Amino acid sequence: MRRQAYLLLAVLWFLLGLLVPESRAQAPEKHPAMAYRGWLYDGLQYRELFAPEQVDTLYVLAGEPVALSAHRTLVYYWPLTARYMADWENMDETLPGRLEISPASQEGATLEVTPFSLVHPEVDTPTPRITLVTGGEAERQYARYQTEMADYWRRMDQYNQDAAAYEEEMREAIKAVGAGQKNVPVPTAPTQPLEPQLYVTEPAPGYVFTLQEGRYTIQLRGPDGQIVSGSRRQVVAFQARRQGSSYTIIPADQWTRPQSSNAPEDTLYLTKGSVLYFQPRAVREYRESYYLRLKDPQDTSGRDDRWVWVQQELLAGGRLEVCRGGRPVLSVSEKPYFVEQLPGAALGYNILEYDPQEMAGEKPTFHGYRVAVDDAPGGLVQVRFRDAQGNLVPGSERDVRLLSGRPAVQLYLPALLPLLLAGVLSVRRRAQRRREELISTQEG
Amino acid sequence: MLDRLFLRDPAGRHSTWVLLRYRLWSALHGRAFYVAGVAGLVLVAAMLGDFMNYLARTGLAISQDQLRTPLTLTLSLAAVYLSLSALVGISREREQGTLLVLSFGPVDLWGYLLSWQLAQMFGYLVLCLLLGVGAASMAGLAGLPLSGALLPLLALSILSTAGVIAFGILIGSAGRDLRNSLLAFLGVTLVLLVLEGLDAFFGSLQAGQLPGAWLPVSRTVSLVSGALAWVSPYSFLPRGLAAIYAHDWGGYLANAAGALAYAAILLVFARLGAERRGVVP
Repeated sequence: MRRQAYLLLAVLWFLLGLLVPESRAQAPEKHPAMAYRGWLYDGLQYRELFAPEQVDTLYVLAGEPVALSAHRTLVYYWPLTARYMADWENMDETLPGRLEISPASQEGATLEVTPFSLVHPEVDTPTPRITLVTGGEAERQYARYQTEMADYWRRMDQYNQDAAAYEEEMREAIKAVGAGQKNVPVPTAPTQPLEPQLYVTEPAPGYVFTLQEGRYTIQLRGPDGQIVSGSRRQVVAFQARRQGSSYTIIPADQWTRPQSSNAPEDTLYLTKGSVLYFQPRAVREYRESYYLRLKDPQDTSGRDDRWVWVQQELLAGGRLEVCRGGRPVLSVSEKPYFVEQLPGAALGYNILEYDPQEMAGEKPTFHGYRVAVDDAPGGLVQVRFRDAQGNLVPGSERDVRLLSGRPAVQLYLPALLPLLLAGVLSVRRRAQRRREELISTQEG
Repeated sequence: MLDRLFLRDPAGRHSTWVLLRYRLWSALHGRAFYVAGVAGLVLVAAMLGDFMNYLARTGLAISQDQLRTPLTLTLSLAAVYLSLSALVGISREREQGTLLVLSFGPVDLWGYLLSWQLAQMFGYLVLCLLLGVGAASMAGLAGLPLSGALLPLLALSILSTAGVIAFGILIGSAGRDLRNSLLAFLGVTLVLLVLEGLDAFFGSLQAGQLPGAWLPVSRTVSLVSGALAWVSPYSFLPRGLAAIYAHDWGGYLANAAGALAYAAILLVFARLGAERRGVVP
C-alpha cells in the first residue's frame, strides 16, 4: 500500500514537472526557410500574416482580397509561446517569381507581383472599412495621403507661428492692462488644425487575389521555372454560416462597460429607468477553428464543432425601432454623444448629445441610438433595426423584458413544493393506517 | 433467457412489480427524497437570484435562456442522487444478506436489477416534475420567459438519467462492498465531471486568454474528455442540450436513443457483475 502511494507521488511529480516551463536561457536555433507574409481581412480589419513552412494551410475569407509576398528568412521555434517566429532583421530576401493558384482565383491561375496599399478611411465616415487597393490605384491613394499629410504639416507650421504670435500678443496685452491701459483688445487664439483621418500604407509588392469558397493550393514558381521549395500551401476560403445584426449596448450608468448581443435568440433584460445606447453592427458566424486560424495560422485552439460570432462594420444611417405586438411604438435615429467628466476630484460623468458649436475642438465620444425605458409605453418588448433604405435588417430583432431587478424572497417559495408533496403523502399514509387500525379493531 | 429478460414469467413479473412499488414507496416516504428536491430548487432560486442581483447592479443583462444552467445542474444532481441511492441500496442488501432470497425466491437477478432501475426512474419522474414545476414557477415570479427548450430538456433528462442510474446499479452490483462501491462511484464521477468542467472552461476561453504553455494541457483535456464522452453517463444531457439549442432534432433523438441503449448495456454488465460477485459479500 505504501509502495503504491510512493509510486503515485512519483507519477504526480513527473506530471507536474511537465507543466513547469524550463528556466534555462533560450537561444533558439534559426534556419533559413521560405515563408509567406501578407495581409488578410478578418471581417473588420486587415491582419498581418506570417506563414512559415510549418503552417501548411492558410484560412481566408471568401470574397475578400488577400495580399501575399514570398520571402526567405530565418525561422526559429520559440518554446515559451510554442510558435514559429521569423528573424526579419537578420534575413529578409523577397523571392521573385509567379504565384500559382489551383483551381484559379478570380484574378487567374498565375499571378504576377503588383503593388498594393491598405487604405484606412476617415473615422467619421458612416461605415469606415479598410480597403486593399492595387496597382495604379494604390499609387494614387498613397499620393493623396502624402498630399494631405504635407498640407497638414504646412498648416501645423502656420499654426505654430500663429500660436507663438498669439502668446506674444497676449503678453503685450497683459502688460498693457497691468500698465493701466483701458480697452485693450483681447487677441484671438489660433485653432489647431485636425490631423488627417486618412491613412494609406506605402505601396508594397505582393500577389493579390480573391477566392470563392473552397479549397485551393498555392505555390511559387521561380524565375528558373522551378517550384520554390517549401512554397506549397493549402488555402481554405470560407464563408459565414449565418449573418445578422449585433448590438453593442452601452448602459448610461456604466458607459465604460458595454455589453454585446450577437445572436437573435438573445433576450435583453432591463430594469425600469434604464437608459441605453445601441450600436448596431453587422455580425457573422464562422466556424471557430477556421476563424481562429485566419487570425493566427499557428493557433490550433479552435474547434470544428463550435461557431463564433464576429462583429463587423457599424450599421449607420438607419433607425432603431422599439416594437410592441409587432408594431413600432418608437423610432430612434443615430446621434453623436459626448461623455463629459464632472469637475472636481469626485468621479462622475454626464452623457450629452454632441453639439459641434458648443463643443468645438472636441470629438463625439461615441455614436448610438438612445433608448430610455420610460420612452416606450407599456414597457419594451422588442427592438429591431431598419437600414438607411428602410429595410428590416435580418437577425436584428431582440426580445426585451423589463424586470424589477430585485431578487424577491418569493423566489424561494416554490422550493417548498417537495415538502407540500411530502405532507400530502404523509396525511394519506396516516389516514390509511387509521383505516387499517379501525378495520383490525372492528375485526378483533 | 428471453423470457426472463422480458419478464414473461407472471410470478417473476409480479414479484418485480411488488419490489418496484416497495422501493418507490420507501423512497417517497423517506426524507432524503424531499431534501434532494428542496436543495435542488433552492439552488435554482439562488442562481436566479444572483442573475437578478446582477441585473439590479448593471441595469442590463443579456441571456438566451436564464433557466438553462440552473435547471440542467439541478436535474443532473438529482440523477446522481438517485444513482447513488440505488448503489447504496444494492450494496447494503448484499451486506445484510437480503440478496440470498434471489436464490430461492420468485425474483431472479434480472427482476431484481430491473426493479431498482424502474423504481429509481419513477422516483426521478416525480423529482423531475417537482423541479420542472418549481423552476418554472420561479421563472414566472422573476418575470423570466419560459424557453421552448424546457420540455425537450426535461424529456431528455429522463432518458439520460436512465444511464446515470444504471451506472450506479452497475457499480453497486459489481462492487465488493458499500465502501469500495461508494469510493469507485464518487471517484469515477469526480474524474468525469472535473474533466468535462475543465474542457468546458478551456473551451469558454477566447483565443489568447490561455497562456501558450497551457495549450497542450487544454488539447489533452479536450481529447480525453471527448474520448470519455462515449462511455460517460453524464455526457448525454449536455450533448442533447447542445442539440436542442442548435435545433438539431435528429441529433437530439439520436442522443435520446443512445442514452436508452447505454442504460440497457450497463444493466447487462450489472447483471454479469452481480453474478460474478455473488449474493453475499
